[in-house]
Amino acid sequence: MKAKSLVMLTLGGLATVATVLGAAGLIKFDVTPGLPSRAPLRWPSDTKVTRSFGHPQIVVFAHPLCSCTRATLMELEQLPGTSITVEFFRPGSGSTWAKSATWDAARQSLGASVAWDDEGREAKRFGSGTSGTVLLYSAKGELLFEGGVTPSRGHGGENFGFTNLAEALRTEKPHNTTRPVFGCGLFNAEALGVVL
Amino acid sequence: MTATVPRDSTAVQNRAFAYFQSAAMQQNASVDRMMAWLLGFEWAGMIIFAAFSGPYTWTGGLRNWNPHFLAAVLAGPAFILPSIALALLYSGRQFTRHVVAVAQMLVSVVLIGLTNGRIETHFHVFGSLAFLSFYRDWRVVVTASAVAAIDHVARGIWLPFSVYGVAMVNPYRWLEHIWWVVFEDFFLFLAIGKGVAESNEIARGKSLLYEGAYHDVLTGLANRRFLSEQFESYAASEPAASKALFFIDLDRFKQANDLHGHTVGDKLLVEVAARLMASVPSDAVLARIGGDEFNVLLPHSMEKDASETGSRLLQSLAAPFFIDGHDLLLSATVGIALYPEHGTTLISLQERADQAMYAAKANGRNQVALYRLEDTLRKSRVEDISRDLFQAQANGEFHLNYQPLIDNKGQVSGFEALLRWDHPEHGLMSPAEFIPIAERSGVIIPIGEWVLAEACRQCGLWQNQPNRLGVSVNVSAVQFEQASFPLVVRSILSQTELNPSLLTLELTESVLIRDVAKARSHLDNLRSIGVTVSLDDFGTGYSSLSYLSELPADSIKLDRSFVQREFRKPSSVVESIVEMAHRIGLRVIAEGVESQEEADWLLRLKCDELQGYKFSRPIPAVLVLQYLATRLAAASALEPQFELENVA
Repeated sequence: MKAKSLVMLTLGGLATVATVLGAAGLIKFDVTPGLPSRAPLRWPSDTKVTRSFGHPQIVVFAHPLCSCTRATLMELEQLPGTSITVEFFRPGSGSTWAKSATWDAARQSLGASVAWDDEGREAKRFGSGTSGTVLLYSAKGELLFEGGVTPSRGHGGENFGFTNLAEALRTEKPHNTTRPVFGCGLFNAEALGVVL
Repeated sequence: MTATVPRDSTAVQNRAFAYFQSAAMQQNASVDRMMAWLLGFEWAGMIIFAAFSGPYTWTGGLRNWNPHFLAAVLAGPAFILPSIALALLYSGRQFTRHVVAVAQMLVSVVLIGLTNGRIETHFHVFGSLAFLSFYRDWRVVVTASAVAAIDHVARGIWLPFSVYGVAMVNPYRWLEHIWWVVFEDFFLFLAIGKGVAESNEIARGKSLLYEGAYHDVLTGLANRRFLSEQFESYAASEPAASKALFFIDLDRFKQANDLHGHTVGDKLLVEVAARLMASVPSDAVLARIGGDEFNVLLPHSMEKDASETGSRLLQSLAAPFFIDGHDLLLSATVGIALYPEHGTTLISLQERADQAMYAAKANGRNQVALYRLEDTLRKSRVEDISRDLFQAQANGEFHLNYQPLIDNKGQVSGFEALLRWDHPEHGLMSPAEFIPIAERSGVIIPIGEWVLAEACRQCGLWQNQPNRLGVSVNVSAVQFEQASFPLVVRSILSQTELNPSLLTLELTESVLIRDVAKARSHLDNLRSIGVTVSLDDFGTGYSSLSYLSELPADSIKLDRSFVQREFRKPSSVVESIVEMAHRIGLRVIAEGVESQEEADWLLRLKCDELQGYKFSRPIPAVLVLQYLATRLAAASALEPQFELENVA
C-alpha cells in the first residue's frame, strides 16, 4: 500500500472515530438528566411564589440562559388556561442578568407569571435543582406532579413527563412517578443537598 | 427517410466508454468543488445557528460551552473539512464523492439533532440527496441514503425524540422516514439514469465522430491521420527504438474493380484488410491510406522482423478471394522503410517505402523490397522523365522509327511505327521506360495523338510506291479509354487524307478486356470507317480465344517472346492458334523473327506476315525509301536483314 493511501486511510479513520465519539458525547449530553427534584408534598407556606387559589398551579423553575428550557415552555403551551408561574434563576439581586428570550417566551407565548428567583431561594425551597423542573400543585396545595416534560435536553415532543403532567392536571390526582428533568443546572448537588 | 447509423464496433464502444468516463470524471470533479463550497457554507450555517440557539449551558451562574455548539464547531475538523479537502484535492474520484455524500448526510444528521428533531430540518436530507444527484452516480445516492437510514434506524429505535421530536408514538416510525427517502431516491435514480443515458449517447456520438475522423469508413482500419498521430506518439515516447513502415499496393486491383464493379471491389478491400490485419503483430498500426494502398507501422521492428512480416503479408493474400460468386486472385507489392535509417518522419518513411514498392513492382510485382538508395535515384529519374515528357513534344524530341512487316510472299506490306525519344540529357530512351510514365501522368494522350498523326502523314508519303504500304500504330490503354478516341482517329485520317484501310491500330489484349463493351464499341466504330485492328502481344497475357471471337479484330500479333519460346521448344500451340485465327478470319503476324530458320518455321505454320530483326531493325523515316529500294533489288524474298550501317 502506498504511503499516501496509508495517510488517507489513517486520516479517514481518525475522522470517523472523532465523528462517532462526538456523536456519542452529544447524545449522552442530550439524554443525561439534571438533578432530580425533591419538591415538598404540600405548597410551602413561606414561599413568595405567586399561586392562583382555587385552581391547580404549575410552577416552573428555569434558567434564563438555558436554551434547553425553551422546549419545556413549548410543551406547556399545550395546556392553555392553566395557571403557570415561571421562576427565573438569578445569581443575586445585584446581577446584571437581563430578561432573555426565554423570559419573553414565558410571558408572551405561554402567558405565565414570571419572576426573578434571586440566588435560587425559591428553587431550593421547592427542591428543584434543574432548569425545566415542572411542579404541579392542586388547588388544595398538594403536589400532583414533579419532574421534566421533555424527552431530552432541548427536545420537545411527546413524552412520559408531559403525559403524566397532563393526566395529573386532568384528574387532579397525584402521579407518583418523578420524571427526569433535562436542562441546565440551577445549583450543584451540594447546594441543593442532594446525594447523587 | 432512414438515417444510416454507422456500426458500433468494439473500438467505438470502448472509446465511447472512455469518453463517458472522462466526461463523468470532469463533471464529478465540478460537482465535488460545488459540494466543497456547500459543505463550507453549511458548516458556517451550523455554527451560526448553534450560536443563536445557545452557545453555553449553565449551572447556576457558571457557564460551559454547550455541546450542541461544540458539535457544530467540531463537525468541521471531524468530517466537513476533511471532505472539503478531499473534494478539492482528489476531485472526480469515486471514493471522494462517497466521502462527500457521507459528510453531507452527517450535516443533515447534526442539523436534525441541533434543532431537536424539527420536522422541517428533515428537508435538509432531501435537499442533500438532490444535490448529491448532480454526481449522476446512483451509488452515491445509495451511500447517502444508507447514512440517513442507519442514523434514523438507530435513533428511531433508541432515541426517537432526537430525530422525530416525538418519543412515544409508533415505534416503527423510522420505517416511514426511510420510505420517504427511498421515494425520493427512486426519482433521483430515474433522473440519474436519464442523465447517464444522455451522456452515453453524447459519448457514443463523439466516438463515432472520432471513428470517422481517424478510421477508414470502408474497412474500419486506421486512416492516414491516425497513422500519423500514432507515429508521432511512438517517435516521441521511444525515439531510439527501431520501427518499420510498410507500403502495400495491391497488384491488379484496378482490373478486378473495373471487371467486376465497385461493389465487388469494395468487398475485396474489406477482405484484404481483414487478412492483412490478421498477419500483423498486435502492436502494429494498419492503415488504409488510399484506394488500394495500405501502410503498416511496426513500432518495434528490426530489418529481419520487417522482412518476415512482409512475407506474411504477401502470404496472407495468396489464397483466392471468393466474393459474390467470383474467385479473385490478388497479390501485393510491399516496400519497407526503416526508422531511423531511412527517415525519421512519417512522410519521409512513406516516400522511401513507396519508392521501394515501385522498384519492386518494376521488378515483377508480388514481392517485398527493402528500401535502397537506388530506389530514390530511380524515383528521381522517373520524376525527371515525367517532367521532361511535357516539354519533349514541343521541343521536337520525339521521332518515329519504322520496322517493316513482310508478307508471306516476301513483300513489304507495311511498317510498324515505333516511338523514340531522344532525351537531351539521358540520350535515346527506351519506350519501355518512358511510356509507362507517360501513361501515369496522362501525357500519353497528346503524345499518342502526335504519333498517330505523324505515322499517318508518313504513310501518306509512301503511297507512290509500287506496293500498297500500310502503317501500324500502337495505342495505349489510357488513349484507347478516351471516349473521343474514335473521333480523334477520324480527325487525323481526315487531316492527313490517308486511306483508313492503310492504318492498323495495335491494341494489347489487356486494353480490350478492361471494358469489353466500350472496346467493342470503339472497334466497331473504327472498323466501320475501314481502319484495321490488330491484337498485339498475343501469347503473353490471358490469350483468351473467346475474346478473339467476340472482339471485332482483323489480326493477331504473336509476341516476340512467345515466338522465340515456341521455336526453341516447338509445340503445336502456335500452329493451333494460327489455324484457329484463320478459321475466324484473322490474319496472323509474328514478331521477333531473328533468323531464317524462324522465318521458315513460321511460314510453314502459315503465318501471314513476319516482323523482326531478320528483316530490319526499326529505321528512321528518311531511310524507309532506301530500305524499300534495297528490297526491290534483292532477288530473294527472304534475304538477310537490312543493315542500317549500309545505308546510313
